[in-house]
Amino acid sequence: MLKIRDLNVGVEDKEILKSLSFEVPAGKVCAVMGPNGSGKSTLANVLAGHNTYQVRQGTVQYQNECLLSLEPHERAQKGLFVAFQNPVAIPGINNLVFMKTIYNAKRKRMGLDPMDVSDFMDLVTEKSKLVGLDQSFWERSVNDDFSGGEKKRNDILQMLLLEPKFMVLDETDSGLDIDAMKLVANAINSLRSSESSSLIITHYRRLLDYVKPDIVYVLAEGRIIDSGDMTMVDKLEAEGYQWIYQDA
Amino acid sequence: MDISRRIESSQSFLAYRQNQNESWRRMAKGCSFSFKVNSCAHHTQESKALHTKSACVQSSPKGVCFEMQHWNNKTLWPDEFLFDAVNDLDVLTIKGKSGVLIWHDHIEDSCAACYQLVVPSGVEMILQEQSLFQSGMRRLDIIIEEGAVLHHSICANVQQESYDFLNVVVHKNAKYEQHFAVSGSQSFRRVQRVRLEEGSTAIVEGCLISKSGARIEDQVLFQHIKPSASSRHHVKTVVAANAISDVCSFVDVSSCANMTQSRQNIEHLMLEDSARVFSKPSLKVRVDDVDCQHGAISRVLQQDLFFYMLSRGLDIQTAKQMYIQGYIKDAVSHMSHYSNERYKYLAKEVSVPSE
Repeated sequence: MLKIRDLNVGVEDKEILKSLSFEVPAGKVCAVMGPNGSGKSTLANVLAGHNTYQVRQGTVQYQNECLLSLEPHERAQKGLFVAFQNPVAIPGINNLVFMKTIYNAKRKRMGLDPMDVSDFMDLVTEKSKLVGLDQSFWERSVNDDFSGGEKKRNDILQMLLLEPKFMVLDETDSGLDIDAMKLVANAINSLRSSESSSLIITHYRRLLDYVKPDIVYVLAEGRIIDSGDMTMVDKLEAEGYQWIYQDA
Repeated sequence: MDISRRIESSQSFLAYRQNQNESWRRMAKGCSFSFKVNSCAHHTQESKALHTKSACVQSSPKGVCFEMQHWNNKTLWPDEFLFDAVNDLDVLTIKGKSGVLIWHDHIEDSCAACYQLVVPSGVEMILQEQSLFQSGMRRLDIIIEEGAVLHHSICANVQQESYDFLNVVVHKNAKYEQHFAVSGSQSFRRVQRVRLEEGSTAIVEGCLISKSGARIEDQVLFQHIKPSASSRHHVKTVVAANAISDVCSFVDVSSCANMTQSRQNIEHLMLEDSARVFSKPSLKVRVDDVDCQHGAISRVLQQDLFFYMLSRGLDIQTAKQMYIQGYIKDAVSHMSHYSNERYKYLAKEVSVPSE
């Protein structure tokens, strides 16, 4: 579903991703783990189309299409969803209105009429329960005065509504307590299918205990230096990241 | 002596000419000033709201008390024009009472209209004003007597070059609270002078929208003349392509106005590169023991917020429209009276052109 080849990305004169190559097959969940500063969040932002990051070389094929040639909204419209490490607050925009707008925009693209308000309320009620957010969050501005964990859960709620084909979760587990982690993991698992894929970016194994990845990639100094299955997670948990530099 | 001569010989005008009176700045280059003073019959038809047109009462709710003098003359103002010199026109006086007064005002045909609203001592009044400016000048004097409260909600639409001068006197322990939503597509200058006496409070906050090609100027002077008064001025603007927004906020604290508290905040949002903004928050303090803060921000669309909305699949135009509406809503949402009406009014006024 996603093929990254020889990707070089930088910000101004700093090179962050260096000849990065890996794949996320359709229907699979992949994890990217790595130490601080290895380029994990840069990867998420490049996939989302953030213009701060300059792609200097390489290709990203998404469903056999060049992802890098698409604008951020076009990527999202083609089913890419990025749950950001630090979701921004948007003062003045009601959370429920925002969710309804993005949901109905998707329906419009599918040739469907906007969903009736009461039906949408039922849908949001159902999805909100999955991430443990109550109705009080609907009436507030998007992510405004939310705690770190609430912002993450709000992003996952949007993801549940949009039912994307490809999900990128950038350190979604940070800031979540144990109960919230389980809820978010269940929500992610509920979207698993043979037609959708996920890329989970994380430092720790906690989330991966609930969302079992098919492939684990280890990212260090801007490139993939190793990969494996869940045993790789065990190794990283036991030994940390120092072995990466010793092997190098 | 005619009005033009009186203005030209006034102390304030001479001070202005000598660059010593910066409170009221020069009008926009190219603006002309030719206002005529209208005369019209005073209708007494009853309605739910007070309707005025060019200083004439069209209809009014039962129980609203007026004092009105008719006039019939025409005045050409000098090239250099000071709003506070407009002291010699006859005035339509409205005596306020407790409760809500809905006021629809229409200024047109180069009219110069003068109104006075008096809120008697102990009265708490809500004035919900909707104004349409189609060329002309309006002066509104508001006198809030001791212990009285006026909540003043303004939705103003400027369609042709117009001027609005608001002069508010807030007496001892009285309160003036203005929440405004002004949108314009032409040149508009709004000048306000608020005089605060002991223990009084004045709040002026709201949102200005300069549509494409418009020039909106908003100047507010808070005169703290007695101790323990507080003022707050918070204005947010949205400035479209080739439009100008010029906001001047001035707090003047006299030597006997100790324990003054003031807050000034100006925020501009420029939608296009061709938008231009000016901010001038300023203070003149002549006494110790005051708590005054001021600040100003001028910015373009916040790329991180915009990117976040795009990343959820919204197209550029929808995201931009939503962003602006959020900005406006944030400006008016905390206002206590009729905030939703103001938001709807402004949201309707702002539309993002197709890319």
